[in-house]
Amino acid sequence: MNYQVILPSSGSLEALLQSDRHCAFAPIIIEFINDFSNFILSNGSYQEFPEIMALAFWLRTSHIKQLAASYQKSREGKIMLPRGVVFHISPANVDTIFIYSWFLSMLVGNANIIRISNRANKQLEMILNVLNTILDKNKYKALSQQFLIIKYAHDDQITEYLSSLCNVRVIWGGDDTINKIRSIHLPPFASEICFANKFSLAIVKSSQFINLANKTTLLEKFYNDVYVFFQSACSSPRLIVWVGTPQETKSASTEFWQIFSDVVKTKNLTIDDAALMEKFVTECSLSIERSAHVVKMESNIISRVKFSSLHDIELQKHCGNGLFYEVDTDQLSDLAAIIQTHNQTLASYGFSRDELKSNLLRPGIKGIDRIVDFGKALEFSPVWDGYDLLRKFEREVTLDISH
Amino acid sequence: MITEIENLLNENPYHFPAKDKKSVLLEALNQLTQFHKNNCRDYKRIINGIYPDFKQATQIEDIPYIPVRLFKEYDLRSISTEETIRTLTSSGTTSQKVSKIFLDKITALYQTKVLASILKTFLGKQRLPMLILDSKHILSNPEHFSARGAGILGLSNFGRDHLYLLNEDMQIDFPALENFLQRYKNHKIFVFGFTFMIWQYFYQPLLQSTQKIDLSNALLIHSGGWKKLTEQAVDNKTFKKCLNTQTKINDIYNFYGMVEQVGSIFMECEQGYLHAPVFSDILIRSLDSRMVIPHGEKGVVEVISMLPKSYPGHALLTEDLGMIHGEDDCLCGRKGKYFEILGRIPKAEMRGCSDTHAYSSSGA
Repeated sequence: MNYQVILPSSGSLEALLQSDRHCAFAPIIIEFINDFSNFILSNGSYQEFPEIMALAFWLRTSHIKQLAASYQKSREGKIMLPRGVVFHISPANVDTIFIYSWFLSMLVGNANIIRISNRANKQLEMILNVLNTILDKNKYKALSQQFLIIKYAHDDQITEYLSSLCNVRVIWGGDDTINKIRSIHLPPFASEICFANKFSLAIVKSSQFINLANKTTLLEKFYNDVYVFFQSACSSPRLIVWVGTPQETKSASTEFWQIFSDVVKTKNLTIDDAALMEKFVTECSLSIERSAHVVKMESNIISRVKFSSLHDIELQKHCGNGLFYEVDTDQLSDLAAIIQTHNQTLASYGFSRDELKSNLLRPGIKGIDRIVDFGKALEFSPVWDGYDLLRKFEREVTLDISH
Repeated sequence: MITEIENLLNENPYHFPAKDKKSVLLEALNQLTQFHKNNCRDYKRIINGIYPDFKQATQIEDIPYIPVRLFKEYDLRSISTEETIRTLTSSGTTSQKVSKIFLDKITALYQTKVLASILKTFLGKQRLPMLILDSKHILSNPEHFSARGAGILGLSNFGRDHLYLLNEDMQIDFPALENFLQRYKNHKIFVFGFTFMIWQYFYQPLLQSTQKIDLSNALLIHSGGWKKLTEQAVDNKTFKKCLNTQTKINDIYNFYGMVEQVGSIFMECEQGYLHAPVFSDILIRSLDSRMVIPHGEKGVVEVISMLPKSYPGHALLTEDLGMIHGEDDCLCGRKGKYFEILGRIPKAEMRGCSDTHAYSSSGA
């Protein structure tokens, strides 16, 4: 089979299949993750890569320990075992994402095969270097047999073979990739987790925003939600829904964009011409297809497209790079009707938990996997796209014996 | 709109200083904007969506402009299907979408007239014997022209006794060429071809061949873009020099034009600059602010033409980069803006949305 083993350099599928499995949250695994996180956080050269920093921060020991604690609590009295071998197919463009799913799977004791993108990429190289450095330590010798990072050109035969060895297959989309890989058989006992294309949104209660004392702080958070990955992350808001009377929304949105423009200005962002052109084309398309209106801003770093009503909005076509769809409504509950299966994150300002729960999170709603405060849209969580990943990576054994 | 063009046809299109040109062009462009708004539903929606306050422009740069790429995504036309006599398409590989430009009789007619008015200042009034550095094969489907076919057909009006130099296999027909050159050896001849085709199928084979040909009495006009030649590190100067070495040709003129604005082309002058004739104009914008930027600065090229009547293509934002070097004061003596094209907008590092959704597709 024509695949290239990237890490560990001496690794092999045979060694992986014969290796031992760990208990969930085994000390050696926590130590390994801790080494990985520390290496990045204590090394200045990673600071210009926000996704690598975010990854390292998420994997810091205190957070992993929290995860361990809540894991132990929820599994109390239960017998949980790793599924066995998990095969991760990582996406071409988000370079850090495979680490999250691999490490979560490793934390509950599985062996992991990770197919990384063939495309050369600096962030990916950096992460592989960190792993390589840490794996040099003798104490990780056994652990390093329990995973295999590989590369191969699109080849259904290899995917089919690796699929035949796994108990769980994880596909990080897009939709086309998922459809393609889904046509390749899995063993009957195996399960699959697919992360499809998503479209996320934000919601603002206009009256609350008007009364907010420190708007800049909130909009700094919003900035992180949208501009860190230029909305290329699926959880980054693309549509802002304003809830309030027309007067409230007018005054709230005017101020919102004024202050947000100032925030963006301080960051000295540049967006390349190809992306700016893409935004212009999208604006024209939405004018044609949805009778949308563009709200002119001083700089096209921020592009705003306003839809006349919730029923006109576009929830597919979007090119990122600071393109904001907007729509007004007077009631929170109106939003539920337009939510689609692929709507993932709702970043919310001004609504209480109860309001959101009773107005939106009702059995009929088709989508929305998470509702978070502004500033948390990109934060990864072991519950993602509606899956409790740790739970998906293990199996529960019934031990029903009377003595 | 037609009156404006008609009135200009007997003038030299390079004799209009900025002030005179502006009044003629602006009037035509305002009329075109209104006409397309009334006759093309999609164009009207773009105006409503993007230029809601637009009424009448007092400067060329205030005329609403649209991305040239929209002609690949939508059938934009201001005429009925019955009035459409020809559909031009951009050349593109099968995987790419092509532009579709719908022409009615009057638009097609004035495209030819305007092109003639421009070219006669280079070629003279008489039709010259014409050598076409391409294959006749490209014209096999006259109802559905590719940009290449349309270009050849458009330009061939300006010559006589045409010789298509390449056969179906894109090989030079040397006997026919010798015959042609012998016949017109004391005559000025007109040579036309596409930049890359000339390089690949004319210059390169000549370089390999022992045949010597003499084009010292010829005038070459070529177009089609520099993308493929830039990849081979061949620029305009190199192109001219190499062809001159191989064929003794001295008069070589490139032009910048596109299927979306056939007719009102931008011809290169003896100084090596592209020139806007009275029928068309050029603006350079920053995409960040979408403002027009000063001469001497590099930005995205907007092309303006008073010809597109059957489709809303009179003000188009291209995906080319360029720089204006001045207006009315080129050493060649022609009035109007003179400029150069500096390649295409570089592809984004992370691919944008369009069809591929390559980086929104991570699931993350």
